[in-house]
Amino acid sequence: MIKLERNEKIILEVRRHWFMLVAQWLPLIVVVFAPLFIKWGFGTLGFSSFITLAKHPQEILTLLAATWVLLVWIALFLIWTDYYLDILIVTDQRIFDIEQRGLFSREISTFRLDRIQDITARIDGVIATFLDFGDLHIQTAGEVPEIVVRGIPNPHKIRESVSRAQNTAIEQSRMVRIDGV
Amino acid sequence: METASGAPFTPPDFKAFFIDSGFFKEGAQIDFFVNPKILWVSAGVLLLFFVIISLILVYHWITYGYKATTVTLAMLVYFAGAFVIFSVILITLLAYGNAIS
Repeated sequence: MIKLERNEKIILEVRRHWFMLVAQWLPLIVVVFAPLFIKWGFGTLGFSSFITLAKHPQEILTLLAATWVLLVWIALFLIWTDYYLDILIVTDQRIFDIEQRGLFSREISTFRLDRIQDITARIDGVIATFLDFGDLHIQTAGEVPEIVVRGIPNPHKIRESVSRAQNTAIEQSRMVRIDGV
Repeated sequence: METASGAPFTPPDFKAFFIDSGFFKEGAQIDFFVNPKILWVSAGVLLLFFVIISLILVYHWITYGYKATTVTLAMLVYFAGAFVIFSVILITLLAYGNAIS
């Protein structure tokens, strides 16, 4: 988890759009029915007329299918974990871009709001337009020149929120400087 | 079922193909007999694999998860689904063992 500074408040927590998760899940949901297709193909192509599975084929096939379903079940949750742990957190002072890559790679990029130089929201494609999700490109003056957050919902609204937070942060830092003088 | 040209679809005769190629004799049957012990060991390996993956997943959910309710719900769904699948595997293994003996 991230550590916030004293008086630092979270303004926004953004995860990828649900469609991104469904798009990754969809092939697995199709693949889970593979044993049924194989069984159907086995019978249709005539293999079952001369190849038999032991004396109790139903049990063997059920075991193979259950094993297959379990592997798909695990894969679904691996994908969900990747989806759930990827998050963009905007506070009133900083932005945290947390990216989980697989199970053993995790990257956390942090930069101050006043270091932002440019924010671009981009929606590409028919589905993205209808469901209102897209990419957010944040250019900074820091070590990481650009951060791209892909497939987030309402990217234009989020861009506005980040811009607003950035303006507030800049104003506050100016006030602190004036007070300091 | 029809082909693109409109002719009725006839599946290829694999049995005839294998017999013509001399791979099988007419009337031959291939019977796969699977020893129940092998199935039990395989199920054990599968369970071990599941436990290892689950430990890694749960570690990630607990360590990096953002909301306790989401993580708890995910765990409930994940383990409930896995329980159902393993129950099917166990019942099938027992039925197979009884049927063989």
